[in-house]
This record gives sequence, structure tokens and C-alpha cells, in this order.
Amino acid sequence: MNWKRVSALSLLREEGSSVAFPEAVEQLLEDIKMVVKRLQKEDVTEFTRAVEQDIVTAIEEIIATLQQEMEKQSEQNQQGQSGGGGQQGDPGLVEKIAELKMLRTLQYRVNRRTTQIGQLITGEQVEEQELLDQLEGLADRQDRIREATYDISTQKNQ
Amino acid sequence: MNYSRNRMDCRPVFQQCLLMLLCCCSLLMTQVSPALADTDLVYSTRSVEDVRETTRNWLKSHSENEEWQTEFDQLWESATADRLTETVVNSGLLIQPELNRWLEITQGSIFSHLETYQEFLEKLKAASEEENQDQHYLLNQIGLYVGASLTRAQEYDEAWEIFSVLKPGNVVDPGEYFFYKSICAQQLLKREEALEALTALLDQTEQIPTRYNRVGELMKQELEQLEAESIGEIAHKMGDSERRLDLGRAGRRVQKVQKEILDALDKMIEDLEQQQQQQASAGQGNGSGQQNQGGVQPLQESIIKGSTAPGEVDPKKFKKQGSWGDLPPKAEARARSLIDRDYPAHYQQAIERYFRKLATRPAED
Repeated sequence: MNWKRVSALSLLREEGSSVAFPEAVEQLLEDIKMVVKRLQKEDVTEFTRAVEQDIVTAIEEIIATLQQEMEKQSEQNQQGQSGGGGQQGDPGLVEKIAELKMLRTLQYRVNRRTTQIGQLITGEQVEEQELLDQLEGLADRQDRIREATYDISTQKNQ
Repeated sequence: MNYSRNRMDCRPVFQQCLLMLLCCCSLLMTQVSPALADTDLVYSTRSVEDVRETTRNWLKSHSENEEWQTEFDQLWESATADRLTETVVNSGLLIQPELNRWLEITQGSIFSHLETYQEFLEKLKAASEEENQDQHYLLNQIGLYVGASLTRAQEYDEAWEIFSVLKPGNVVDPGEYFFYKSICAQQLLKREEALEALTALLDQTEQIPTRYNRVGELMKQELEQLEAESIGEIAHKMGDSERRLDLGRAGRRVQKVQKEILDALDKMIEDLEQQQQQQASAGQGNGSGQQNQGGVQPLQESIIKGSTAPGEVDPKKFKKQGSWGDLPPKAEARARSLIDRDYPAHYQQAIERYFRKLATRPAED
């Protein structure tokens, strides 16, 4: 299982055409690990359930993106077989939109998690160590999303 | 206490007048200036000796005795230009130790000292509105010290509030003021304010330290290249969100920044989708016409055929990494064994000679 996970992620990263998609899978795995740890400690609080819900949503989002991509490819193949019928626009632009949509999903997840933590405190500053650890993890995610955004802006994935 | 007051009262009138005149002159040097928008204004970085005398005179006119003199001299013995504000603050605390509470703001998270910080900010605001800045000489320097410390701790929101109240003409080190103010503005993506502070730092302040100059130039260059609503700007905002999360913030401020990121991404996606639709409809309109003409449109620029990347490579990366084009070690070993196996022995020697020559060749710029 672990080997498959690593190789699927490696494959996504090495294939290199997408910056945001491997990041989405990586974050999904981190969330799963977090829930495992919390459940091992018999923690079934609202926050744990919210993370579980996030995992389900993330999987749904990834599946939806993949389906869209597969549909797009089959359309392109059909058009190729039937001899064209008009240009489909700049393929670079299509990829960029897909990447930005995935980045948006990743950012949305960070926002949602921040709001969830924000609801547990009064004011701006988090004091509880466990929540601080969560925020540290979120900061790390935000940094990786920023890097992916930078890579897309500089077309590093091309 | 009474004794000291009496001593002060017994001081010759001429001496007291001279002392007051000196204070006024030295303070005037730092007061003629406030408006940032005045582009003709030039701020000068004052020497350590000059600031020391100003501070000494201020202390004399605001204390009832001169018991602080020894400690004052000790403080200024080791004073350097890059710790000017700190030395002035420490000197002032010799006669007004109660102001030390403002320095607590710089210890740990700002949220541990929120009340003290709010009180300090109100005091600074009230002081900045008064005409006579002499009595607020120490408070202004504490303001700069706290603002710079908060900036270094990445507490940019609070530092920015302090710099917005402080006036560069009221601090002993205007270079330090503009430098830290520009960092806050740049980090909070207040583009215009950052550029204004950087112009004041780089063009209107004399004899600033080299580090301020270099970093200031870089920040200015980055800000000038940063396009509004670009993906670069979104990445910058993501950096701001990351910083806030790292500081343990999860309240409305960070959520507002994160919402701005999401809105900006939505707008960018929407714009690109519109562009895509326009391209598709234009493609359908032109497609048949082009096929009938049998012609192919020329490329806008010269590119390698089939390439989707722009082909722009940063040469610095080659210099740093230096391993571009190398095979992975396993593949290299396999290739070497193939050479050994399939070709005559002198081929191996010739290849080794070639690589030695390649390794000793000087790198091109």
C-alpha cells in the first residue's frame, strides 16, 4: 500500500505536466495520516470530523478533475479522428486554467481549515499547542501552494 | 529629590538659557521635515557624536539631577551607527525608567501585550499631533525601536500602524525609519506606500548603510515589476497568509487575506476562460478559411518546432548546480560498461581523455 502510494505520487511528480495535482494528492495523504493519529487517540471531536469531511471532499474534487480531464481527452481524440473541425484554442491556456482550478481547490482547503480553527478561538491569536501545530502544518501547505503558484507563473511545469 | 530641584533652580540663568537653546537647535535638525510627499526634502543620517550630544542635552533638560552621567557615558562608549536608536532609548530610560514598559511590546507575540500596544499607539498618535516635539523626543525613538523590532518579528500589521503615526523628522535615524517602513508596506502589499518609502530611503536620505541601499534597491525592483492582479501578486498574498499562519493567527485578518487570494484566483480563472472562449470562436471562424487557402500562418516569434516552453533559461542555475546534462549515476555506469564491452579498448582511453579535457576547460560566463 505504502509502496503504491509512493510510486503513484512519484509518477505524478515525475510526469511533471501538473504542479497542483501532485500537491493535492500529497495534502490528501497528510490529512489521512492526521485523522489516523487523532482516531488512535480516540479523538472524535468536531475538528477531527471536519478533517474527515475534508478528505471526502478532496477525493471527490480530485475524481471530478480527473473525469473532466478524461472527457476532454476523449473529445480531442474524437475530433482528431474526424479530421478536426476548428481549432480548440491554445493548449497551454487550457492547461493553465486546469492548474489554476486545482490551486484554487488547494487554497480553498487551507481557507476552510483556517476558518475551522478560527471558530475555536476568540480574537486572532491561537494559544493552544495542538491548534498551533495545526496552523504550522497549514503554513507549510500555504507555502507549497505559493511555490506551485510561482512555478505556474514562471511556466516551470511546461 | 528636593535637593536636586533646588540645584536646578540655582543654576545661573544664562546657563539654563544656553542649555535650552542647544536643545532647541539640535531638535530642530530633526524636526524640519515631516511630509513624505515633499520630494525636495533631504534627510541626513546624523553622526553618533551629534546624536549623543542631542540626547545628553535632552536628558539634562528633563532630569532633576545628573546621576545618570556615568551610565550614559558607558552606554555611548560602545555606541555604533547601526544601534543608534537603541542607544538613545537606553539613555532615555536612565531618567524615565517607567517608559521601559513600552519595550515589553517587542517581547514574544504582540498578542501577549495587546493592551500595552494599543495604549502605546494612542500615546504616539497624541504626541505626533503636538507641535512641540521636544518633550516627546524619547517616545519617538521608542516608537522607531518598537516598530523596527516588530518588523523583524514579522508583526507587520502592528509595525505598520506605528510607522504610519511616526514622522521621519522626529527620529534620530530616518534611514532606519524608511527602511523598516518600506519592508512593512512591501510585505503587506501596500505597493504605493512601499515605493514612496523606498524613494525617500534611496533618493532622499543621505549616507544610508549599504545593506539598506542594496535591499531597498531589490525591493523597489520587485515592486515595480509586480503587476496588479497578476499571479505574482497572488503568490505574494499567499506568502502573507503563510506568515500569519506561522505566527499562530487564525482570526479575521488572516481569513480576509485568504479570501482575497481566492477571489483573485476566481477572477483570473474567469478571465482565462473568457480568453479561451474567444480563441475557440475565432478558431472556428478562421479554420475553414485557412484550410481553403492552404496556407499556414507564420510564427510570431522564432521557436524550436514542437516546443511549448519559451526556452528561457536562467544561466545562474547552470553555474550553481553544474550537473545539467549529466546522466543518473546508474545509467552512466551502464553506458560505461557498454563501451567496455562493445568497443575496442583504445576507445575507452580516448573517451576518458575527452572528459578530462572537458573538466579542465574554464567555465564560460
